[in-house]
Amino acid sequence: MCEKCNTKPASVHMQQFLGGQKVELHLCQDCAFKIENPEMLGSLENIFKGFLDQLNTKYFNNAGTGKVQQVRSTKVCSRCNMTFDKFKTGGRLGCDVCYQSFAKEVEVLLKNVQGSTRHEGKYPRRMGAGILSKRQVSELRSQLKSAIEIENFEEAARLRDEIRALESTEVTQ
Amino acid sequence: MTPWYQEALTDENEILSSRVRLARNIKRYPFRRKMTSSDAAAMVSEASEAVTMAGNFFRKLEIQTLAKTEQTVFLEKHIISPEFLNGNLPKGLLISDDQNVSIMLNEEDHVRIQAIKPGEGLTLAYETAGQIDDLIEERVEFAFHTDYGYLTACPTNTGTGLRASYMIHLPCLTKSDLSNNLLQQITKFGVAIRGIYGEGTAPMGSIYQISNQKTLGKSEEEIILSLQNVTRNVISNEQKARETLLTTRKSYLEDAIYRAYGILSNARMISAKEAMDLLSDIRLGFITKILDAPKPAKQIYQIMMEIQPGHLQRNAGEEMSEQERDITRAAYLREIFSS
Ligand SMILES: [Zn+2]
Ligand SMILES: [Zn+2]
Repeated sequence: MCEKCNTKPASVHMQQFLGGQKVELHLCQDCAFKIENPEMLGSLENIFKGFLDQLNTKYFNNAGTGKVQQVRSTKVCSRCNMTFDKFKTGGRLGCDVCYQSFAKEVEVLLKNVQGSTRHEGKYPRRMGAGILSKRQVSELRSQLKSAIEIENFEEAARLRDEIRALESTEVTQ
Repeated sequence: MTPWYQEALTDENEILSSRVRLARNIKRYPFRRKMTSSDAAAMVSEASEAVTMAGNFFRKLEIQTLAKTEQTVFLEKHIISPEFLNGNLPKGLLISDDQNVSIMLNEEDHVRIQAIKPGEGLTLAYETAGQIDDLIEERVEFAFHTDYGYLTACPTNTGTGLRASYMIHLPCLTKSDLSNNLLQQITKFGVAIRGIYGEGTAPMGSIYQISNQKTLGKSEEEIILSLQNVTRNVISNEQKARETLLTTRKSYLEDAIYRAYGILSNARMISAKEAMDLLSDIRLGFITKILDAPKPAKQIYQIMMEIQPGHLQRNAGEEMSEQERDITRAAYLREIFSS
């Protein structure tokens, strides 16, 4: 029987990291599906197309008219001169700075294609411990944003202090 | 060390090989799309120096000056990608003596580290690729973003830059017409499945590549574990399909396997696609013990590679027309199976 819903037969056996521990789970198809992948994915090309459609709607929607315009971003990368239009048709960025030059668009794209905007994996050793506190700060910043959104100002103040503390230790390092 | 496809431990296993690829870019050069020829040459020499300084594990090949058949052989062994042969910018290929580890310089990204292991060796393959990543990183600075991780030319690789994949043999799912269904099922789990020679190529020999789609938001270990979970379930479906075939359609299975044996030991001309599908039946014949015939000295999967056009022409030492290849292929297979 499925260990999660206890109603359907368990047909999927999977391992998961839970709190840093590898745990064996026996689940039904439906529960396994929910754990493994919250949103459906198709082929990469379809995802890419889906992203462009969404970008069209999200940022370039003619407010009020409901008419979707073609993305006509005039943004150009400051390092490599890649234009956003070229990226859109070719699907490849021109350099690392493109990720900043088209920050808003890349953020939406990553959310769509990857389902995440936060790297959880390995990082270059040369970045040392600094990268860990940077990651912590960026995590706290997003918590701060949602705290402000739900008007939990007490929590927001606490988070802001924590961020300041982390940032000041980074400077002294 | 022998190359992974000659190691004999996997001939009964659904998993034929495990492969890991890490994509990296060197911070001080623009990505390939925006590189000049001199950028590319400088990048290739800087990266190959970083690799060779770390130790004497690799030999460097000038891929652009290699004979066409040699290039094709590397493609057929999955040591390089078709993308790698595109364009005229300087490139480099570093390859370990046993060919289990290769580094493509100036593929879509500056550095693509690849490690292959026989059978289920995904964790080992990742460890190997990761060590090489560390060695190179001691000498060059990779493009890295605090939130997004390793930055790549295509955002579909950003984050870990990790593509983990298995090459798996699924003859019974293919025969039961369940493979299309399964294909749709498992893409929901964040994995991609394609034929042995990649996207857009016809599936041959019931061999599939199965790999993770997402590279961001999960650690390398989680990506690998996830792929292992999906693959384990695919394999258990294959085994169920095999049991079903053995109990409900045994005569059909026996007939298919012995026909395959008959054709491979007698044909005078045979295409790669037909031979691959028949070799798949032979492999199934040995797994199910239906086929009562001497087992060839080489693994079936190795034979599958050696009948590809590039391998055939390299072994013959000359370029051949399609018809000449079909004749040579049939002769090669007869020699293996008619003795
Ligand atoms: Zn359930
Ligand atoms: Zn750029």
